[in-house]
Amino acid sequence: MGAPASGVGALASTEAAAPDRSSGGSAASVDAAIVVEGITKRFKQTVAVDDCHLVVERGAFVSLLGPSGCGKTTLLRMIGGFESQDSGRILIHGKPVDRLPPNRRPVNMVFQRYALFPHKSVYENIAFPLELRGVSKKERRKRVQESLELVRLPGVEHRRPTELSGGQAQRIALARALVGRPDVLLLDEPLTSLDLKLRKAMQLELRSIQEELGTTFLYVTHDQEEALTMSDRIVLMNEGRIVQEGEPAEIYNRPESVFASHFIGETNLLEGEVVAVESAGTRVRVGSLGVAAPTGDVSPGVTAAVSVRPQAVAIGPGVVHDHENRFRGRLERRIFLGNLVRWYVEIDPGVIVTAEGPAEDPPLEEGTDLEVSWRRDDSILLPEPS
Amino acid sequence: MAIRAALTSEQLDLSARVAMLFRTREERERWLSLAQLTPATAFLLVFLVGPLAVFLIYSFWVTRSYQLISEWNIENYREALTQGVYRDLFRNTIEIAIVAAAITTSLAYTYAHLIRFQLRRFQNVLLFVAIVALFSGYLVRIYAWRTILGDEGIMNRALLSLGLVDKPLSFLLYSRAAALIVLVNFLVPLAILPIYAALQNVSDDQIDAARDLGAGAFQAFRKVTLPLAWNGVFAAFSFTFIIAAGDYVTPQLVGGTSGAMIGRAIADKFGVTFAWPLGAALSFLTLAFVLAILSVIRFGSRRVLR
Repeated sequence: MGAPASGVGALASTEAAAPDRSSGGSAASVDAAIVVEGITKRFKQTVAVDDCHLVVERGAFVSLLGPSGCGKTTLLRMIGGFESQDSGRILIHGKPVDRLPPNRRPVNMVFQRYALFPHKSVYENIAFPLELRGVSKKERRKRVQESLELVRLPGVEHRRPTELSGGQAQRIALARALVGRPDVLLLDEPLTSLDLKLRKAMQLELRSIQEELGTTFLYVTHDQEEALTMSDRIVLMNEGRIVQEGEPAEIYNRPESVFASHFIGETNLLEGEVVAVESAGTRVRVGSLGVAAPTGDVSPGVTAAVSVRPQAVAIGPGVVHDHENRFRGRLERRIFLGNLVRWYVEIDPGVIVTAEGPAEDPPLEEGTDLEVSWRRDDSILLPEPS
Repeated sequence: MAIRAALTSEQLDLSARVAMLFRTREERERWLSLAQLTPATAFLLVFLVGPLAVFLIYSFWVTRSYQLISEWNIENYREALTQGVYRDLFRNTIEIAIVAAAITTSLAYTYAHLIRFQLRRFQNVLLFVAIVALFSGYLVRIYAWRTILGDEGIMNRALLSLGLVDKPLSFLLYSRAAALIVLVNFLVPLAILPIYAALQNVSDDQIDAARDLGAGAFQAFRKVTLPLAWNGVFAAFSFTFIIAAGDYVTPQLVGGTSGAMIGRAIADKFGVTFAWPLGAALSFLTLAFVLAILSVIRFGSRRVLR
């Protein structure tokens, strides 16, 4: 167990330096940290995970992101060995693990509710995997000490898990999962039971621990902000399927579906009919308005949606002139967010566009007539979900 | 204070008036918890501790011509510990009770584990079945076992008609094995409930975590599930051990000589022979043995189950 772990560290650091990870490169995938090939899992009638393919490169921090019930936890549990797939196979560091029970897979898991052993002290909890593996007492002491330092919580060895706060308990759970130097660490929404402030601090800390160790992290979350903050890559899941995969910026800027644009970040979704496809761009009729969007894989007559991020929308009379989209509307609501202001503008009956930006001076009153505009290239053309 | 003065006593409802008897909230809560403890404590003092104390005193007295006489001595204990008949009965009792409690606890654990982990969908039905079994009559069950194990019973008739034996096996009934079977049958439902309750406190995540960290199925059981459920398992063992050690009906009706237990002898001392002091001494010795054995198990398990 110890021998491959040191190899991972060396390999991982070079990997982390080159974040150029094009997905699906089959030559690289043979030796990837995790390869999931066509995994399907049914619970009675419902399909929890539907023909998923996934390659996680060594040393990467990858998030499985999706709404609850999308199958992300089930997929993680199959990689961990807690559920068995109906079809497909899983390789970890190039070796098939499908027949191996959890205790014989080179992965460890951090659970949502810590899952510490209340009858053992913190020290005994962390030493547990080492003890099972017959590591000598002296070595155990050293490794537990290192783990506690890694999670920045030295000096709590003799406490009981019940005497720890939520944040401390999760750090101990992390130390316990890492002390055996797994090839891959699986994390199942580990920060959900913490409060917001602690959660944000832990996000950064988790990331720096991951970089320090170079261990591959596969992180399940339903929190898009969390996924954007921490990940090298995000794997977006919906209804048992992987719907999009890429680097955070890529997923945010170029969503490939209405679901993706909606789930990651806030967006305006304008649904309508494609009326013209030209070399310069596409026109979509939304209500009585014509919205300009870039060219896309659509033909006239089909329904489509245009997604535009609130921060791409400008407001006010006398706005920027190179904006292809320009609509008159009425300010329905103005919300002060502290550093930003959000405006809700009705540009057509029932069509409300949200804009976001620094506060205007003087503040606009609700009910004012104004103009909203955005560049054609800020429109994202999405095929309708049908 | 001003508010209090402004209100007439009629305007205050009872609870508010009671509340004002105490100055602080902590004080009120302390009294309240004391008040809640009182009835049960009083009941136990009057009907358990009291009689026990009386019998403890009796155990150092003597009887003469069917009269209790307060002549302090330890003869009863000496007799109980030295006479061969009692020694044999004590040994029988402890052996039978330990074996019965061990078998019962294992069976009950298996059942509770099954409904907690494997057959979760049927847990309500299976728990109900266990509770129903708990309420079926004790004597009825003993007689049922007599008809099953007796000379004319189902077992013997089946063996006879299959030609496996040519006359009824009389050792089926009136044996230690028969006493054990009846005791276990009676005690299993009683042991299921505390074990099941304790297993409810073991989360799936904790077991998954143990497996994930390198424990095989048995190691996860041995190092996580069992230690976490141990309080319930020990409670089940204690219940069944105490009840089995004190039983005097089962051994009499199905136990024969090898299944005779101290309870029967004690009952006789308080009944026909009117030897209350000796009976009391035998009772307290039984109690002492039982508590000693339970303490050893409790203490030993704390070292083993970590």
